[in-house]
Amino acid sequence: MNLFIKKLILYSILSFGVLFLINYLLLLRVNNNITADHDNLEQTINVNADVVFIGSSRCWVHFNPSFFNEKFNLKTINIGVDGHTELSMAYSRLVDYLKGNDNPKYAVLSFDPFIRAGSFEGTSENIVHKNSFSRYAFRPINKDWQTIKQFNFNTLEKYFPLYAIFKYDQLANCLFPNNNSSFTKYGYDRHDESWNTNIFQLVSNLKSKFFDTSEISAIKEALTKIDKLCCNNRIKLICIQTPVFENIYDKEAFRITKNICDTLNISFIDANIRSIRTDTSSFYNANHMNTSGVNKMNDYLSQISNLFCE
Amino acid sequence: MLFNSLEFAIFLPIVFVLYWFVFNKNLKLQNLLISTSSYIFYGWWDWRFLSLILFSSIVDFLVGLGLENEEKKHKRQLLLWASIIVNLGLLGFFKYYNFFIDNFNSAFTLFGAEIKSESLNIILPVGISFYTFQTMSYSIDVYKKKLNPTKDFIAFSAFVSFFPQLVAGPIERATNLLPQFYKKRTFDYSNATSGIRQILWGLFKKIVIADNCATFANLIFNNHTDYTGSTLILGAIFFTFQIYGDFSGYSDIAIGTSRLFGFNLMQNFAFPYFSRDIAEFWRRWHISLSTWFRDYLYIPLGGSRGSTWMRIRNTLIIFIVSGFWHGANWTFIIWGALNAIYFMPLLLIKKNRTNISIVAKGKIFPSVKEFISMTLTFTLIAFAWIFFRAENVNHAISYLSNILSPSALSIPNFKGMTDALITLLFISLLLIVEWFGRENLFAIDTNLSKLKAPLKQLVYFVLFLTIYYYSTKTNINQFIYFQF
Repeated sequence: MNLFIKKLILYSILSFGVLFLINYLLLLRVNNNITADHDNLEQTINVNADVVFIGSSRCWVHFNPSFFNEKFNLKTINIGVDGHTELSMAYSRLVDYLKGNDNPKYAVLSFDPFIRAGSFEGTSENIVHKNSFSRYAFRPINKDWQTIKQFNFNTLEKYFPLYAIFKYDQLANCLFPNNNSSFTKYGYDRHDESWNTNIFQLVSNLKSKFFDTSEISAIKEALTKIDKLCCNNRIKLICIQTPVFENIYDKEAFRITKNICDTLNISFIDANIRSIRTDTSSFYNANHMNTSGVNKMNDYLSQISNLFCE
Repeated sequence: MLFNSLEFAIFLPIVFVLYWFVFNKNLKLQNLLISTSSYIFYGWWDWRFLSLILFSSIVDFLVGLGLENEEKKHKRQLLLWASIIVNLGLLGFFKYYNFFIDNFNSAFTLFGAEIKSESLNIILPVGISFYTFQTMSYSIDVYKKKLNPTKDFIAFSAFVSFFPQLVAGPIERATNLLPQFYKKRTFDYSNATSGIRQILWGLFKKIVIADNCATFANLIFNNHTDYTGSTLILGAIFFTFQIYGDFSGYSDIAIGTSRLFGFNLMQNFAFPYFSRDIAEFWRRWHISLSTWFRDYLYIPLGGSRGSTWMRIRNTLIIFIVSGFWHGANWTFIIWGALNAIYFMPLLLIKKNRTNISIVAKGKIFPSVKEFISMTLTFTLIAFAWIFFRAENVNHAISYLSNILSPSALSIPNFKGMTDALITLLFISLLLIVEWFGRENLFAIDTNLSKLKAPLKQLVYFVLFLTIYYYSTKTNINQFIYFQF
């Protein structure tokens, strides 16, 4: 019996030890690399930026750090998370950023009617890009914990080596990391292409994705939490509403965002200006601008003299 | 609780340690532990249905005691019928009520009469077909005086609910399993290590073979009108290996787990896809059910004694009942009938016991004749499985008619062909390993132990890694036979 138990334990330890070792070697291999465009947690340590952009894909695609570096002479980083409109994700991403960096002077939140409050308890049902972040799922370390929590990885994925990497098909990506991502090259998700209406329809039902009035209190609560985090770390929070194409523009919906910020006493800039939103050449789809649109928005922002002042 | 779940991976070592280190001095406590853990194991799925197992156990336990004290034939028969009615009543209500009501309504509608009998929203308790048959066999054996009734309810309860085989067999006979609960168990190192090997091989068959095959079988069967005949043939082959991997995998895990606790369950699968005729297949497929029907239905009906007509009738009955046992659907009945039709010529020319020993025993390769026989038998089996897998008879007929088209000669094509090819490679590996291990109780029983230590450990690790890899991939966790 003792021999059986000993052998069983030994086999188990050895087997899981080898899995652990392979997992460790894979993580070593992808250390400081991006495997699938969005897993840039390691690239955002020791940046010590002055301005940090947080938010969803509309942050990830719309804010070009180089422009802010040059125009305002402020070191800038974009840590938007594509596909995650929840404020809880923006909050989590900022919390983890602060663990590996000096406090920035400004946190700019992309804030618009697409936003959601999300869950701060790590029970989010939005799993967009979960596969990209699965490399961090196994025994997430403190610096990544808040962000990884948002993806709701299960016990097996968190505590069994290689489980998440196998499950989310990241083995090949870990063996052959992608060093050519848009984030690596430009610091944000740059889109030079013009609008291909065969892929992205001109008329879309994106308005249905705007938050409704019943969600306002939860959004206010979430925004307050972000504001509080910023205040506690002496960071000024600024909300910027970026353009959408005219077809999905709704005056009332885009006014509520300003009202929310006004009631919470948070700076709000509406960059959703008519000259941009009526021009199809500024977009690559109805709610994301291409480089041309981003440049136009930057021109507009550069005219706001008090954008980054105490 | 599923064998391929984290819960079971935690549950099993806890029960094992308690069994051998805490309760090892006291047989009654060990049996109580088995009984309690089995109820936890079953209740993990739905605790409400524990009452059914308990009820079935109490009834058959009391029937057994009653039979011991009763000598009058008609009273003994009455007691036996009480057990049969209760067990088949439970099974009939939970499994077949809606089937009979629906067919009853359809039959009357056919003749222009409207019947308002409504079907009920009944949940089928997992494993009900298995444990009811197991308890019934106890009462029948006691009635036939093949077995002395037990006075130890804890041992009897442990026998009925024994967690490794509770929900999907093997359907154990009381004559084999119950006496093992009376004897003090001693830990046997070689039996336990062999048990672990059997569990590992069972997991491979379930997770790597069955679950991967299921992905493609489901895709092709659920969208069969979109595919060419050749793809449908491939779909049928995938299902043929899915059901084998799933069910024999479960049996291997069940038997292996039992061995860890010092119990020996009967072999349930003996490399059935290497059978040379359909009679041999049925001696090697789901052995515990086949022999159950043989002993408790076929032989009481007269078996192969009597006139040719009687033998045909008995064979038809046993196959159709066996089909119906699998589920309340005409597809299962047709599947059973089809197997009876396959079997009939062998019975009539008295060749149904020609191939008793394992094929090509002691040889590396089969003869050409054996190879052709195996291929033909496999084809017939795969064909019959189409009815087993189909949602209904129309689905099966439509599937078969699409196979029988000129496109059956084209190259199969569907989404995920690369993964399908990998799965076919695993199927080939399974067949090779099973072929070389076909003289053992399970494929890797003695083959691997012959290897030298470092290579053996490497093979185990690769097997473990493959299982681990595919366990992360699949969402198909349920074992097919849970529904029966």
